[in-house]
Formats: sequence, structure tokens, C-alpha cells
Amino acid sequence: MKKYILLILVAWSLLSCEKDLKFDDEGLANQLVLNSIISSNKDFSASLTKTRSILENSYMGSSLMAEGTLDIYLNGELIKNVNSPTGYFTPSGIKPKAGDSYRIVINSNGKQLEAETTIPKKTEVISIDTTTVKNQYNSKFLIYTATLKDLVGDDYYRILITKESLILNKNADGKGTKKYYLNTSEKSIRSEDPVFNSVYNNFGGDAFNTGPENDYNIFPDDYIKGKEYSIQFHANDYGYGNYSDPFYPVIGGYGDSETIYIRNVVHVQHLSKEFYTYLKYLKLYFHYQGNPFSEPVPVFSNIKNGIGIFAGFNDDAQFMFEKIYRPFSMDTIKVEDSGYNNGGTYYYGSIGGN
Amino acid sequence: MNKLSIFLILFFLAQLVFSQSFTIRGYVTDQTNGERLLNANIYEKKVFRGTITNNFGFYSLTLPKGNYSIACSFVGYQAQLLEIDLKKDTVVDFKLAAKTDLKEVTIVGRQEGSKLSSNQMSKVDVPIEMIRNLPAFLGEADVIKTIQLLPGVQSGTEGTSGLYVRGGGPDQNLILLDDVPVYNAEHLFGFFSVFNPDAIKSVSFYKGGLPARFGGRLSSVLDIRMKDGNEKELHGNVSVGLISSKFNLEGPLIKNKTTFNISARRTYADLLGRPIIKKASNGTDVGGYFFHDYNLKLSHKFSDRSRLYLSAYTGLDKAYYRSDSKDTRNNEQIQEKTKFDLGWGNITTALRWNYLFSDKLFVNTTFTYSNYLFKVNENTTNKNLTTGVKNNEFGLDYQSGIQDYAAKMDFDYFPSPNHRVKFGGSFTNHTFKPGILAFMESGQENASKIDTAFGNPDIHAQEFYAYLEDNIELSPKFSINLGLHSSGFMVDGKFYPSLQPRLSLRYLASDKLSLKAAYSKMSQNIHLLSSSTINLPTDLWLPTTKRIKPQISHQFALGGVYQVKPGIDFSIEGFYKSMDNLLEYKEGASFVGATTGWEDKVEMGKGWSYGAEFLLQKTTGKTTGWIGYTLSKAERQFDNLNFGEKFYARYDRRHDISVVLNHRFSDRFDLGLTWVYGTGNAVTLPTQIAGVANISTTNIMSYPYQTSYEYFGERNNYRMPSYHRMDVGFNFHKQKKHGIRTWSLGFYNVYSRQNPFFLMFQENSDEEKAQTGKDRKLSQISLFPIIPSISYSFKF
Repeated sequence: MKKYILLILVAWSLLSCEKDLKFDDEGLANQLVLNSIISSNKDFSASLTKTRSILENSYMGSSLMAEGTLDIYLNGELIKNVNSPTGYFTPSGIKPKAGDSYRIVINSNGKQLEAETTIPKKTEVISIDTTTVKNQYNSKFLIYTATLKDLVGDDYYRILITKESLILNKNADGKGTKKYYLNTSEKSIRSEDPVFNSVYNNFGGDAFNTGPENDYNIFPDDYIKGKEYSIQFHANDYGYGNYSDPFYPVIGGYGDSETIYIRNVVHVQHLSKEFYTYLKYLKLYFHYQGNPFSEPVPVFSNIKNGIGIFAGFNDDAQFMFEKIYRPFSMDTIKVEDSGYNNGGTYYYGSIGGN
Repeated sequence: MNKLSIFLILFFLAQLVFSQSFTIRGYVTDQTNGERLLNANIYEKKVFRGTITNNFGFYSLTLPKGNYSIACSFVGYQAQLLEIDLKKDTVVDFKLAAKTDLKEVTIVGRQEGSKLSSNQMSKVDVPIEMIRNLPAFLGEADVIKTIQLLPGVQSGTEGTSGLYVRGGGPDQNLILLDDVPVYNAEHLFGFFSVFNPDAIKSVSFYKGGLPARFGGRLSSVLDIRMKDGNEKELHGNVSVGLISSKFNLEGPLIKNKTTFNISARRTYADLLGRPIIKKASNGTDVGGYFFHDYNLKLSHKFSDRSRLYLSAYTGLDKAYYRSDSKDTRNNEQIQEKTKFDLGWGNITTALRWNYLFSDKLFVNTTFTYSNYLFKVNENTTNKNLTTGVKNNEFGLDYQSGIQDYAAKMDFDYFPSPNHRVKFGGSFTNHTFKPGILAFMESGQENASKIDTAFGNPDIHAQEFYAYLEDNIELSPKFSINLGLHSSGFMVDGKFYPSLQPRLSLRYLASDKLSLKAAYSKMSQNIHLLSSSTINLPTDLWLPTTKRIKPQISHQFALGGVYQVKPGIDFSIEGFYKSMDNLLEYKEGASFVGATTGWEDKVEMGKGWSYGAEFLLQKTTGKTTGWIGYTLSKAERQFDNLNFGEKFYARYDRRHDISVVLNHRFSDRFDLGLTWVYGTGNAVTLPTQIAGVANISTTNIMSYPYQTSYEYFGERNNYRMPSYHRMDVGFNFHKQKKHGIRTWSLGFYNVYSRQNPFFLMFQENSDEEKAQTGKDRKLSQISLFPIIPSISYSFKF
């Protein structure tokens, strides 16, 4: 059908004429954007930037940082006042806890931005089990079954599996130097569970509009209100971030590599409504952006007098599944310099020996 | 004697008086052609009692025994005055003579049907002559485009036929052609409407205070009546225009008994373009687009009491392409054939029987059929002519639409001069065809073969309503129209009942000023799943379901009419309308694609609109027309759209002005002019780029490079530039031996204003980047610059 619609549009465009409009892009830009995602037992951080002109290339260039003062209120009480000339706020000594309600007030360039969020309680996970199954290609993979107890009220969850692996490169520089690499990444989760599919529902299976994948693995408790519910999912063994497959463990050098251990950590995160909504619409936005046939998708914002997100989540429910391929002791291993990758943090370095 | 006893005595005395009353009844017709005149005014000058003719030109007036002066008048006709000594029930058929020119009117008594005296508010009768004489896009006079010029009515996007009435949507208008709903009233994606003015007798448009006899839509009723046909002699009209030609023929089959009226119209751009396309493709390709429509009406008078009407309309839009090419490859001849058809059209039929049960009771029984179908068909084959083997074949077939069968009865009862009662009921069987898409693909052996269909099966629904309304003259100054419309809708085992009260009040403050108020509750059980920006034939009518509830509205209107002088009215109306269960596409959803699970694509929400409308209208004299101004606001609120915050409706338009003029300089020359101005439409346009929050564990494989997004604040956050346009048309008439010929010359968008059709961001060229320092620019696409048109018509 799209073909015919396009034909119509092309026919119209033959009739049409075009002119450029004056557009006050600079006047509309330079609004303040406050982004701060906080979680239990992690350091509080926030960033303050300015919007850019819509007439700039959307995806190039970085955001312009904005100077400002941040007031942090915990359960209604001012606990911190920090100033940042760069727009990065990393106030020391604040580690949010479950149930904490935070309100932040930012003053910058004569404007005052406000937002609030609460750190939800830890997800009540009754059990989490794994089963090894074979797929049609006879490859083994793990299926996780997490049974959780939904709380009273509206709740939002996210499942995340992070992977940490310690890799030994036996000949990293071609001269026999051994190097250890510790890398972490996020694993790609796949699930047929209806709770995941309910988020975008893909418009009823429309063959022309399959909708976005639920890559963030988020779900509301609409279908499990106040009940115990078992969710099944599995993780592909290729991860995001960088490669750490035990079968292809060559990394950071030339020589043979060996996997020392692999740790998969399942996070059953309890999200605030703000965080859930932000993730949901961010994904929708990127999926449909640029599609002339789709209704526009806004990215969620909960910043009063500004743009951005201030949202909390609880990441205390973590379950580790570890496989050790070779005995080791961290006392004798030195993991070297670390680097950062959007998909997670990985470290690389070298030690002489072992 | 207490007060109750006095009241009872007076009541019975009144009954006694009426028991000695007699009824004058009859029809009001055009003297020349016998065409029955709707809403003609019959008025008794001494006792200040009057009535109007119904939709079939019938009236009934009951008065006590005595001598009376009965006046009959209708705009554009010479009034008639009849002295009568009423001592028995009497039949008086008024045959009015059309004025050669619309001189200033001579008012004969109070005009019952006039805006000043009518209870009905928010209604406009648009003379068909006015529609014909106004300048039109490509010279095609258009009923709906004329309606768009009324205050309170927005036109949607440039050039299209959508009606957005008092903040409502394009699906909220009940468009009736001889009592049959027309579901898609558009040709060529809305640039023309399906109604051929040559076939039409009257156009009435209700945008508020809807009487109880109407139901099923929230915002308006466009009641279009086809001409019955000349009872006396054969007449016709032939017209040749830039894009289409049409003819109309009417006359008696049996003089004064059986009439016919037939009209046809067809565009011919495809016929003209066919040789060019064929030549350009070396004879292999043929393609084009056309639309045609046909109207037919037959009427037969069995007696003064009984008359039968058959009305039919059929119209079709079709785009087609054929290709048949042969090529030699490896010494083998390969044939590739392609056939593509895209078409849509309506068929409507009404069989109506009028019967006069008594002098006071008129009944009309109607059976209707309405069908709208959209169809796409494509077939491509590749065949080896040397070996005779078909290499591959691809086929696609898509159909969607709606089909109705209905029966209804409408009664007009005139029990006394103080009451005009209407009651009746209807039953409709709907079949919704939400779209079946079939694919077929086959190839040589071992190649994949597909033959599949997906979509929704037909949905059957039954809808009925019953209504009762009474137009009560409480006093010469104060009258009221009280009504109740009760409807039910049965679909998928679920029944939706609805009770909808209607009320209109009129107070004649003076001979020149009347004050009016109205309330109406409306319910709508069918929904149009429509594209956001353009009118497409793919728009789908779908029923209320278990999940999708009926749309409901409450509208309050308050206003007044001041008669500046006879033939010139100034009216002001304020309105407030609230709407529930409106549908909008979900964020990200698209109108493209199969309709499987359409309920998942939409959200339900609320809407509000309010505003004031000002209309100065002149209906008689050499200069006729109106100046209208609307100040209004239309908002929506959906729990799951725009994060639950209110937003402006797409066609929220703060200011809307229309100037419509028709001036007759002489019998040989007249001029039409329209000018419209409207605040720019609300669109969703990103206005800045914001950075994404750093979510440390985001799945970066999908969008590793996207660290920012385009921010637009809220839905429909930006206003397009304002819209304004002037059209001018000149009509040159000349009396010939056998009739009148007319040359019409028109200019659409006479000062070639580049009005916005849509906005988009575009990449700047390197040169532009160097000049402006910007990567992109905002561009406006406009559709139509000045477009001249010329047409020739001959009326005999």
C-alpha cells in the first residue's frame, strides 16, 4: 500500500511548489535540558545542557553544557547545594535508597527548573532459575525463569543481564606477554512473554508496521497486578558492548586467548513511572523518527520549565550466574587500564606474568 | 371556582374552538417546472399563524372557521396572496413563479422559515444558484467547497473537501443525498466533491441545534436533495470544462405525473493524456486517472395523496496503468505485463413513498442502499514467449468499504397551528469491510509460491433509532422545538443504547430581532480511521466495538438574528461543544498498512471546542452573499497521547474569515468572488534538539550514534503560516434561440498566494550552508498557485 501512497505524494509534489520559511531556530533553542537517572546505592549525578538549533544536523555534535546551581531535596529537606560551571553535577555522599523521594531544583541563566522522583522498592523476586535447552541448530542456551511478586499499585520493571568475563591473552604482543582483560557488556534478551510484548503491542500485528522491539526489556504490571508471576527469557550469547564469546575470545592482541570466568548478572529492576515512560517513548521515538506516515512521537520529559528527565530506579535485585573455566585468584591478577563503552564498562590492561 | 377549574374550562373551550377548525393543506411548487419547494413559507396575516413546507413541499395549516389572507412565499419567487373563506377542509396548491432577478423582497407577513422566525439555529440553506455562480477550483462548482465558506466550518488542508465543523472531525458529518448517507463524498483525494450541482435542488447545512430527526453524527448534517425533474417539459444543460464535461436532462415521462432527472459527469484528463503516454513508452504503456458520477431521479404521482421517488447515485474514481512490453534475451522473447487499478466509489439508492394519510398527517417511507468500496488490484506477469513458460507472476488485491441497507418512516403531523410534530424511526444494517489484502506470487518450479490473504472479515452491525419532535408556538413571540432521539447499535453481541434530548428555543424580541438557544446531545456509532494530513480513499469506516465506545457530544448554542433590512440578516452565535470517545492514532501508528488489529492503533479521548460566529448575509437583490467570521478554539485530551496533557486539535483555527459575493450586473454578466482567511493549522514540528540522558546500560546496538532527539514540546505545537486566498469568477450569459449559453471564466487563488500544505526540514546545499551557517532549513510545500479555468455551458 505504501507504494500507492507514495505514488500519490509524488503526483502531488509535481503540482506543488516550495519555498523556504523564516524560522526562529535560535530563539527556540538554548532551552535547558536536565538529565539525571538515579538508582539505589549508586552515586547521584545530573547533567545540565542546552538544546541546539533544530537547523543543525540532529545527530552530530554534542550538547552544549550549561552552568548552574543544583539544590537536592530528600523527602522535602534540602540536603545539598552544588554549583557546576560545566553542567556536570556529581554531589558527593549521596547514594539514593529505596523509598527516598528526591526533588531537584536547578537555577541557571535566570531560569529555575524543577523535577522530582522516587526510588522504588527493591523488586521482590521469589526465585530465579535457569534451564539449559537446545535450539533447532542444536546449540545450547540458557533459559531464565524469574518469579516475582508484584507490589500493590502501579509498578514498572526492567530485566537486564550484564555479563562480565575475564579473558587471558597468552601472547598479547607477540612476545609472549600475557594480558588479562576484564570486560562487561549487556546481553541481548529475547522473550515471548506477553508482558514484554504488551509495551508496544506492535499495532495488532500489522504486517506493514511491526513496531519497535522492546530492547529495554521493560514492562508495566498491567497484567500481573499484585500477583506472583514467572517470566521466561533467554539471552543471546553475543553481547552488546564488546565481544567476549568464549569461542572467539581473542581480544586486545594477537595471541591465543582463554576465558577464565564468565559471570552473568540478572537485574530485575524496579522502575519509577518516569523512567519507564522515558525509556518507552525514547525507543518509540527512534523507531518511528523520519517515517512520514507515522504519527509523531514525543520523548517524555518531567522537567518543569525545561526539558529532560529526572527519574529513579531500584537495581538492588541482582542475581549472579557464574561459570569458572579455570581456577584463578584476583590477588595474583592485575587488570590494567579501563575504558568505557556505552554498552557497559570494560577494562583492559596487561600484567607481566602468569 | 378555583384556578384549576378555570384552567380546565379554558382548556376545553380551546378544544371546542379547534373542533370547529379546518385544515388548509397542499403543496408549494415552482410554476414553471412543477419542482416542489422545500421550506416555503405559508403565513396567515390576520391571526399571525404560519407554517413551512416539509422536505417534499407539503404543508398543512389548521385554523378556525373564518376569512383569511394566506400568503405563500419563497426566496427567489414571487409571493402569492390568497383570500379564503375557510368553512371546510381545503386543498390549496401554491404554484410560485420564479423572479427573473432577485429583487429586494416584498415581505408578506412574517417569514416562518426565515432565520429570524425559525426555531432552528445554526442552520444555513445555501441556494444552489449561489453554488453554481461562485468561482470554483478548475471551474467545478462544488457544494462542499461552498459549505466550507460558512462560519464555524474549517476546510482542512488546501483544496480538500473535508468538513471540520465547530471543532469536530471530518467523520462527524452526516452527508445525506436524498436521505441516503454518503460515506465518501470526495473525488480526486478531496479536491472535488461527488455532488454534481446540476442534479441538486436544495442544500441545507446544520452545524448545531440538530433536530431530533437527525442522528448518528456529532457535528453536522448536510442535507442535499436532488431535483425531481421538470413536470412540464424537457429541459437540460450541457457543460464542457477544463477537466470534465457534464450534462443534465430532466422532463416528464408522463406529463404532470412522472418525471425524470438524469445527470452525468466525467473527467477526461486520462483520455487526453493517453496518446502522450503511449508515444512516450513506444506504445507499451497506458495510464491515467478519471472520475465520473451519475445521478438519476424518477418520480411518479399516483394521486394528490401518493407519490413515489426513486433516486440513485453512482460515482467512481479510478487510476489505472497498463504495460505490455516484449524483450529479447538470449534469443528468447520475454513478455512483461503489468496491470494496476486503484479505484473507489459510492453507490446510493433511495426509494421513497409519500402518502398523505389525512390533511394533517403526512408520511414518507424510505428504503435505502449505500455502498462505498475502495479497491486496489495489481498483477504482473513475466512470460517466456519462446518456450511458453510463465517465469513468475505477482498479484495483489485489496478491498475495503462499507455497505448499508436501511428502512425508515418519517411522519409529519400538524395537529394545530401551534404544533408541528415530526416522528419516525429507522433501521439500518451495516456491513463494514475493514480490508482484506490478498497476495499471490508464483514462479518457476522450485521457486517460492505464495497465495495468502490477511485482514479482518466483514463486521455486521445493526443500528436503529426512533425520534419525536414538536415545534411548539407557545406565543407569537416564544416558540420551542422539543425533541428526543433514541438510538441503539448492536455489534459483536454488544448493544449500545442512547437517549439524546434536543431543544431549541426562539424569542422574538422585536420584529427585527430574535434570540435563540439550543442544546443537543449526539451519539455516533461509526468511526472513520483517517490519515492525519490528507484525505485518502483508504480512510476506513469502522464500527463501535466492545473496546471502542460510541462518540458522544453535548453542544450548547446561544445566539441572535437581527434583520438589518429585508433580505439582510446579521447573526451571532456562540457555541460550546464537548465530545467523548474521540479517536486518534496512537503515537507512532500509521494509516498505511493492513487493518488487522485496527483497535490497537487508536486511542480514545476527549475534545472541547467553543467559539463565536458572526454572519452578515444578504439573500436578495443584485448582490448576494455573506461575510462570516469565526473566533474559536478546539482542544483534545487523550490519556495516552501527549502524556495526558491537553493539545490543540489539528484544525483548531483561532480566526476564520470568509467573504462570499455574487453580483449580477445584468442578465448577461455576473461575477462571483470569494476570499478566505484562516489562522494556520496546528502541526507537530520539532523546534530544537535535546540530548538523551546517559543510560549506562542502553542497548547500543540499535542506535549507537543517537545521543540527541528532536524535541517538539507537545502535539500540534506549531502553527503553519496563515491561509488566505481569493477566487474570482465571471459568467457571461447569452440568450440563444434554444436556450442560454454561458461562458464561465475563473481564477482560483487569484493573487497566487503560496499557502502551506505541509512543512518539512530539508538539508541545505553547501552554498546555503555557507550563507546561513545552518545544516538544514524549514521548507513549505504549497499546492496550487493561480489556476485559471474556463467552461462553456448551454441550458435549454
